[in-house]
Parts: sequence; structure tokens; C-alpha cells
Amino acid sequence: MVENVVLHSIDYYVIGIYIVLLMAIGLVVSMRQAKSTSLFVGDKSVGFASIGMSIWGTNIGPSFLIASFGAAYSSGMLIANFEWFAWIFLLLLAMVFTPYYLSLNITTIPQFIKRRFGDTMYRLLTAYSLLTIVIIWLGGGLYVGGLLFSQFTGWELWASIALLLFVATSFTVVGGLAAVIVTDAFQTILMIVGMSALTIIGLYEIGGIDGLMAKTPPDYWHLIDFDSEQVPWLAFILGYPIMGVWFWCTDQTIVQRVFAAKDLPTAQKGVLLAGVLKILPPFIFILPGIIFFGLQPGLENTDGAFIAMVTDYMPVGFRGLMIAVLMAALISTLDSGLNSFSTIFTLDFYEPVIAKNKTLSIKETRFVGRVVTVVASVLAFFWALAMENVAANLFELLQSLIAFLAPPLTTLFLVGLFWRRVTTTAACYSFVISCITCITVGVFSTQGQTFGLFEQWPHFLLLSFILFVFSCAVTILLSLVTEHSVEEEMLPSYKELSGNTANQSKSIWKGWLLLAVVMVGLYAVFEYLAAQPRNKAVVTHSNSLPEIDVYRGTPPVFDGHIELVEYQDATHIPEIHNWIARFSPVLSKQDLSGDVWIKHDGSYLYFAFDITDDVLYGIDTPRWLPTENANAHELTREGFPWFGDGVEVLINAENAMNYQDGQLNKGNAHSWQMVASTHKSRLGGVGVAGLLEGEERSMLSAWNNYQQWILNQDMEVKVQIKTAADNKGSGYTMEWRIRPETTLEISPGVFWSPDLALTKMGLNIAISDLDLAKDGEQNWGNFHHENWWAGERHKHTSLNQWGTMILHGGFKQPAAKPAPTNQ
Amino acid sequence: MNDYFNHKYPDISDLQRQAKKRIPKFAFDYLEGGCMQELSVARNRVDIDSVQLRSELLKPFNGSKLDVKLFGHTYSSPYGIAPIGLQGLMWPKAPEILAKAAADKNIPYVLSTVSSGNLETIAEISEGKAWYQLYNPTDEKIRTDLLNRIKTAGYGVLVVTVDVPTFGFRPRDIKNGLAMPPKMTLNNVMQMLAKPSWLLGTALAGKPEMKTLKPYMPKNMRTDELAAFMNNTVMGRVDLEGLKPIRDFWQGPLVIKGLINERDVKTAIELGADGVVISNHGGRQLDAGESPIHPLQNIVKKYQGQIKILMDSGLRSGTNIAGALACGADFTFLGRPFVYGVAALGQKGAYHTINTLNTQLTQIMNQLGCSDVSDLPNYLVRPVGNTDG
Repeated sequence: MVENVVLHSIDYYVIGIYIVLLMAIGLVVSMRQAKSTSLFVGDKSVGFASIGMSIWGTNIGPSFLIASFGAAYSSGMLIANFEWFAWIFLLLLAMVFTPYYLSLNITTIPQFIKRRFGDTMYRLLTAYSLLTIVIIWLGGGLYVGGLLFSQFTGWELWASIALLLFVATSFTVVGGLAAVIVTDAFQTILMIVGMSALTIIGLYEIGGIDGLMAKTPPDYWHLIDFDSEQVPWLAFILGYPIMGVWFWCTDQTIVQRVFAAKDLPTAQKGVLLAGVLKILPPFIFILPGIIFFGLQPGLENTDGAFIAMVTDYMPVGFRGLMIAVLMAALISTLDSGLNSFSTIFTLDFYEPVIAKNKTLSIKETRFVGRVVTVVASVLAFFWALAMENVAANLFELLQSLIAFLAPPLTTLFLVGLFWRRVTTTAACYSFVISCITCITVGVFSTQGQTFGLFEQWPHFLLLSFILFVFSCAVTILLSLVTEHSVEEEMLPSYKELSGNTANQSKSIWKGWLLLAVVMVGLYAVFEYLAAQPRNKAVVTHSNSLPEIDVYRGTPPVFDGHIELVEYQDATHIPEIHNWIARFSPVLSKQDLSGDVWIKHDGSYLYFAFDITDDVLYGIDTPRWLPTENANAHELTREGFPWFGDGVEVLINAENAMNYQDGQLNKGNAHSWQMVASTHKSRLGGVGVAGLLEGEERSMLSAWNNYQQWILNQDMEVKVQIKTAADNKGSGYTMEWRIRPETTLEISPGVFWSPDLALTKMGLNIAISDLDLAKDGEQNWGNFHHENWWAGERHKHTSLNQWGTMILHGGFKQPAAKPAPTNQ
Repeated sequence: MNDYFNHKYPDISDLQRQAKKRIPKFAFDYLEGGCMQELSVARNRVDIDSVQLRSELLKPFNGSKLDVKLFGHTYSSPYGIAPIGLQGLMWPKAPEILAKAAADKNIPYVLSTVSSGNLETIAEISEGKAWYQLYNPTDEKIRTDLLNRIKTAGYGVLVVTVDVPTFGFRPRDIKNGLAMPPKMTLNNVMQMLAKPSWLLGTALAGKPEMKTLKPYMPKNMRTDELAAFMNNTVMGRVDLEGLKPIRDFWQGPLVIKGLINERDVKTAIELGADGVVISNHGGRQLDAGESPIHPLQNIVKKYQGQIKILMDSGLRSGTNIAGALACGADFTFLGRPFVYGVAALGQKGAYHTINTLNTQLTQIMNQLGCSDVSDLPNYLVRPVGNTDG
């Protein structure tokens, strides 16, 4: 990740103002409360707006922010599904679960389960809830938040974590849930404002909507993709509901917010507001990630994308604001976690177990609750520090963790609530079995350990669904063979409950209906946009020399290996055996054949070669010398750089008009001809494949320029010789990348950059094949083959004989679909 | 949209006030400002306002029309939209909006070399009706490439501006540290935040840049480097020798913009130019410069018929357009009023401004009893100001 972020003193003022404001709000709310108010449900006076914003703010933590920003950077809008499906489960929470919870007058989820299944299940769930709060809400988030803060400020990790914890704990201890909810609302507004600013500045920098469309691949805008690796649609549709029910409807930290409402309609309106606010994250958390990809593609560590964008594009003062946003994301999650931990611990563990069910006075619970909050925050401090030593791919781990925690509880709630036949015994046993199974599967699948039983683990979302089905089956099976016990209490059916509230909830149902329409509309709009052709390509074909369009693509792995997926967005030039032969024509594909791909990623221009060549000179043959030059092997201006198997790339970036016949390249960034050989190189010497100074070597300036490019890595080549072992026949694959800002000078002092919509350059490519001397005895230098992409035979190196590469700054846009014909 | 008229803004000054409310100070200052003490900006206004016209009411009159034939095309009004640099800074997509409105209302839109609109895009939007204003680049490669692009894009009329031999010394821009794109200083950011509609529109349109010139500009230039680049490569001094190759290359109508001296007009005629724009660059280049309305009358007397005589600088109303035409101009240009219109009302503002000017001009014609704009000189109360050229 980025270090040494420069913060201006104004940034520190902004951060300072945020902390002071936050603590002031928290403390004012705390002071206003009566002494008798519960720390755990407030005084039941919290308005729906605060409830809605608090749910939203609690949900969005720093690891979510960083991970979804990174996922948007690497694969686009797809990640938005996690946001835009949440409303369905918020609907479930508001209209189905909340009426139950409020009618039973409970404060914690374990209490709810106690009512249905009795004490054993109650204790199991208390332990389970405390554990998940520590893992999900306190530990991971605090570590990630502290890490980010320390990177921005240069503070030590422990100091960063301590500061964040101190702020979060301060008003949580004094004010309890009411203070947490009101400060969450403030932090939610701050996050929305700050992230909107980042989005707006990003859009401004990239050139507005038009610029964004031109610099991002069209498939970045799809919301529905069945083949995606990151979010396969089927797995998502099956797996997300399992996580959704658990996370949104049954997790203490989210649900505790509705317990604080003064009545059912307020709670329902609050959850509806949270659902409406869930429209926002794709626009202000995911969109800026996509924008940043357009601005700076090719980042290897996408977890660092967020910080990189803030550092590179946010003006002074706004960096401080963005740090405040990160802190807000963390603190709004942290305070809720601390409060929920304290709630469950005090009410479900201290009261029944330690106080032996002696009913505590409000004063006593307040005291215990406060002590527990402080203890929890101290625990969280050490737990977060300990996380530093855990696996490096922490973000992914946190992402998939929920998928494995969800199935047992989702099963318990769905089956337990809606099927009265479920017995306590069955519920307890299946809960334990399911937990153990889920943890085991979770551990092995995140490590990729398959024991050779199958090829690879399914996507974690699909696993989540499978585990849910398994838990359900176990629960049902055990219920059928066991009997109800005496301590079980049947909950009122949904019909009985909703009968009482049907009238007052009509307007809320209308709100949900409206939200549903909006969400469906959003999906329709995005799918429609993704399918639209966006810009007309302006291409003119004027002469018989070849012309190709080269577009922006995703950065390939630069290692000399060519995977099909790496270059599927590149421009393909096939059939090199059919190119123009300078020496002997190629008669068999084993002798010489292959393909070339070209693309750029905004930073480099890439050429990739997959060459089949049955005999490699200097590798399969001795290093024989041509009669023309006894010094052919020397890496000096007297040597023959192109003598051997390899390729030559010739680019005329200047591409002026009216070149004379025989006018050659300038040997500088305006126009050049470089060589990549399979058996010698400037950097590795004879015997090592790589780049060499090409023509016109007779010009000292050209030789010097070329050598500088190689030494400065303005051009780089990686070659992989095919071996019998990899089963690809014989020959080689090669990747060649070129840095445009030093090697493609389109007019004096002006170098090509991806900002240019469309630039025409001269281009030629040669593939040379040297076999045994006798194979090419009729040819100059005993060359066997040298095939050229463009130009008349023997004139390929003249500038006016080269083909044209139309270099597009942006991605290739989908072609316009033919208009549907009326039957 | 075509007939849009907003009753709140019947005068250009109403649009100006609204524009000031809606755009950041640094952008408004760039639009509004002039050279040094801004004396010639003020003088342009006073002098054009002093033109008086006299009606003739008892003769037969069958209504008036505003159309003018110029360079083979009949325009619907006797004025066009003058080239203004960095229009997109004042309002997002201003060049695109104005080019479209001008094409719809059949008046010429002149795209500036230093505009935020790309020349190919504007040519497409204006359906070939736009004119192109060129600062003759001193770098030959850039000049050749630009001229080729202008021709290929299909611009009908080429306007070469010659009155920027030096960078205008404009105190407002210097104080604001104006740069393109604007620098993200705290001050500028605060100004932008104070104008949310401008901010959002600018974000959606992307940062304003000199899109036509972008391919020729080195990346990430500092403000002083940009000024030097513009001075050295794009906006050099243009003399007769500099104009000759352009005349040779450009077969279509060629207009020399920024002349105020009779001798320069004579040179333009010798060069073979098709038109001249009598102008002092809206008071942005020479603070002691005279208002073009004064030399206009002598130039018309001497050279009318030999070359088309166009005029701009200081026009803000139908009254001013009628005044300039009465002093003998064949055609007029206005710059700031259209940007006020777009800044005040967005896309509608472009149409509103054109419709306002047309309505004003028609009222004047009807009141004078003048049926054709070319007859306006017959209604002039002479003399206007100091006309000794």
C-alpha cells in the first residue's frame, strides 16, 4: 500500500474537527439522557431517521470500503449486487422479523431464541453471538482501520488503533445505544458527503461521463454476469439470501437498532430508510473504484486503490476529509459492535450466569454494561494487534467469513420460526453440527485444500447455499425423530401478528413497493447502458497497406507466458506463415507459424507473440556463423542483432505524410526498429533471450537511443522457450512492452498518451527464422525465413511501406446491434 | 427549445447577473475581465452605446427581416457567436451547447483554437455550419496538422486571429492564478463548492481542457510552462508572411480577425482574404485601444465591396448590433452575452440569448421603418464619435 502520504496541516485540522464534533455529539446525547435510561435500548425515543442512518453506517466499515473499492477497480459494477440486493432482506427485517421482536419485548437475539427453544439453545446462541461480534465487528475492522490510519498519518499501528478505540469507546461507555445511534447518523452523513466528493472529483478528472465510458471496458457496467469469477450470478442468487437473512435480520448489531425505536412504525420506517440509502453505495463507493481504474489501470494491489486515488487526486483538505470518512466507517461499526457485545454479555451472560438470575437494577446493569464495554475495547485492542500476524489476504478472508457463519443461524431462524414441528433437541444438535461443518468447510476452502476429492472448491457463495441446505436437512430430519419438550413456546404466527398492525403499515408497504420499483429500474438502466454502443469509430481505409485498430485492454501478466485470457481483448494478427516472405516462403506450419496480439493498458503498449518454430537457432542447433559477417554474434554495432530466431518491431510514431521511397526510420522516438532475439540480448548477453539494438545501427545516435531504452526498461521483453514438457510443441512465446512516454514521440516533444482518442502510427513486424545453414543456402546470410506484416518484398523497412496501427486511447466499444426486424 | 424565451431575463445584463451567481469567481473573472485597468472594455461599451438611429415612419413598410447573405450562405440573423477560449470553464459543455444552438438558429458559431470543445466534435454538432478560429501556430508541424484537421472536419470559414502578438496582461486572472484545467487550491475549491450546479455539471462533463490542442501539449505542465507553450507554439505574432501559407492552403473563405488599422485592412485585401473582423479583442489585449466602432466607419467608406467587413467588441444588445450595422458593418459578432446566457440558464440559455437579440433587433427595425438589415446605414445619425482613422 501507499506510504508517505503527504498531509497538509489543513488536513489535520479537518481530522481534528471531525473527532471533536463526533465526541461532542456523543457526549451531548449521553448527558441529555435520564439516569434511568437503559444503555442497551436507549430511552426508546430514537427517531426513524437516526435508526435508518445508523443501520447504514454500522454496515459500512473500513474493510468493506477498501474491499469493494478494490473489487470495483478490478471488475466493475458486479460487486454492486451485494448492495442492491440488501433491500429485500431489509424488507424482511422490517415487515416480518421486527413485528415478532417488538411484540415479544426483547433486547437481544438470544432472548428471542430462548422464548422459542429454551435455555440450552439460548446459551449456545449467546456464545455464538459474542464470538461473531468479536470476529466480524471488532477485530477485522479495527485492524484494517488502524492500518489505513497509520499509513495516512505515519503513526505506529498500536497508536492508531488506540486512538480510534478511545474515540469509539468514549461515548459508547457514557451514552450507550442512544449515543451510538445518533453519532452513527452523523458519521453516515459524513461518509456520504466525503465519498460523493471523491466520486465528483474522479469524474471531473477522467473527463466526465464520456471520459469514463471511453476509459473503462463496457463489461464493467454489467450487473448480471453468469460467467464472472468474482460474483457468479447463480452462486450469488442462491448464496446471498443465506447471508442476507443472517446479517440483516438476525444479527444483534444490526437488529439492536430497531429495538431502540419507540414503536413498530418508527422501526419499520427506519429500516425502510436504510433500504433507500442502500441505493447509494454503488454510486459513491463502487463508481469511484471504476473511475480510478480508468485513471490509473494496472495496479497490482487493488486493496491499495482507495488510498492511491485519495493521494493522487484529492486536493489539500479533502485528504483529511477522506481520512475522517475512513474513521467514520470504522467508528460507526466499532461503537455498534462494542455496544452489542456489552448488551449480550450483560443481559445474557452476566445476569443469568454470574448474577444467578437475580434481577439487576437499572443502575447495576448500567455499571456492568460500562465495565464490559471498556473490557471489550481493551480485548479488541489486543485482538486487532494480533491480527497483524494473520494471513496476508485478510480482506478476502473477511469477505468470505460471513458466508460460513451464516448458514447455521439462517437455518435456525427460517425453519425454527416458520415450521412449528422443529423441536428444541433437533435445533440444538443441528445447530452444533452445522456450526462445526461450516467452520471446517470454511477453513479448508479458504486454504484451497481439496484432499484430491474434487478439482476446486465452489465459489463461497455457492458453498454457503449448500451448507444451508445441509443444515436444513439435518434440522428437519432430527425434528422428525424427536419430540417437543416442555420449555418450548410456540410463537404467534405471522398472521396473528400482522392482523394487529395491518392498518398502520399500509403506508410503509407503499414505501417498499416504491423502493422495489426503483431497484428494478436501476438494474434495467444499467443492463441497458452496458449493451449500448457508445461511440462511432472513425476509421478510414485508404491504401493497400494493412491497417489495424489497437485498443486499450486490461494489463496482462508480463512474464513471457501467453494465456488466452490475457490477450482476448487485444488486436489479433494471425497466420504469420502467410505474411510477406523476404526469404524462402514458409511451406509447413511446423517450420514457422504463429500469431501476434497488440494492445495497450494505458501505461504500456504490448506486443505478444506465440511462435511455432521446429528448430531454434543456437538452442536446437550450433551457433553457426554466416559467411557475410564473422562478428555476427558480437553485441556491438558490428554484430547482426537480428541473426537468429526472433522478432522485429518497427514503429513510426511521427507518421508524417509523403515519405520518399527508401526513407528509413530516424532511430529515435519518432520512428525506430528494434529486435528481440531468442538466443542473445543486451541485458543477458549471448545465450539469454531478450532485446537488442536494431536498425539503423550505422547511426550512432540510433544505437545510443536504443541502448538507453533497453537499459532504462523503456522497452522490455520476456521470452519463454517452449519445451517438450509443456506440451505446446516447439517454438517460443514472447511479450514485449513499450513505454509510450519515452519511445512514441508523435510530434516534437509530444509523446503518445492514452488521453488521445485516436492516433495513427506506422507499424511493421518481422518474424525471422534461422535454422541450419544449409536450409537457407540460397538466401542472404543463409536465412531460412523472414516474414513481414507489411510492405513490398525487400522494401519493408522503408517508412512508406509500413502498415498503420490506429491506436485508440480507450477500450473497444461493443458494436451497434442490428435493429430488430419486424416480422 | 428553439423558441425558448425566459421572461425573467429580457436584457443581457439580467443574464450577466445570473451568470455571476452561478459560476465560480475565477471563471466569471476570466470571462468578464480585460487588459490592465480594463479601460478599453469600458470604452467599447460607452462608444457602441452612443450610436443613435433616426426612424422614418410615414413611408410604406411591409415588415422587416434579419437574414444576411455572407460567404455564400444566408444566415438568419446579422450576428454570430464570437470565438471565446476556455468556454467550458465558464459552463460545462458550453462550446457544444452554443454550437448546437447556433446551428439550429442558423447563425455562425466560431470555435476558438483554445476552446474546451474538440474541433471534430464541434464540426459534427454544428452540421458543418461552424467557423474555425485559428491562432496561427508557429510550430509548423502543429499548424499543418491543425489545418488538415480543420479541413477534414468540414469547417466552411477559417478565421485567423492576429491581434494576440503578446499574452494579454489581465490582472484578474493573475490574482486568481487562473490555469487550465483550474488548479485545486483551497481557494478555488471553495469557489467551486459555492456553486453546486456548476460543480455537478462540470464533474459530469469532465475537467475543462483545451481539447483541440491536447494532442500537441506535453503532459502535466505547470501554469507558467503552459503560458510559455501557448506563447511559443500556438499564439505567435502573425504577419503577412505568416498568413500567406494559410491563404495558399485554405481554399475556402478566409477571415482575418482583430484588425483596427486601415492599413492592415488594405494588407488583408492584398493577401486575398475574404473578410476582416474589426475588433479590439473585447478589450482584452490593448488597454489604451480604441473602440472598433470608430475606425469602422472610415474602413467601410474606403473598402466596402472589396472585402466583407465584420465587427465585434462591446456588443450587448439588439441596439448595439443595429448600431454596428448602421455604421456599415456587414456582420457582427458577440461573445460574452452568449456565455452569460449559457451560464445563467444552461442549454436553454443559448436559445434564449439568440431569441432575445432577434426580438430586440426586430423591434428596432420595425420602429425605424427599415425592412432589410443592409439598409440600416440609412437610419444612422452621423457622425459617431471620433472617426479620424
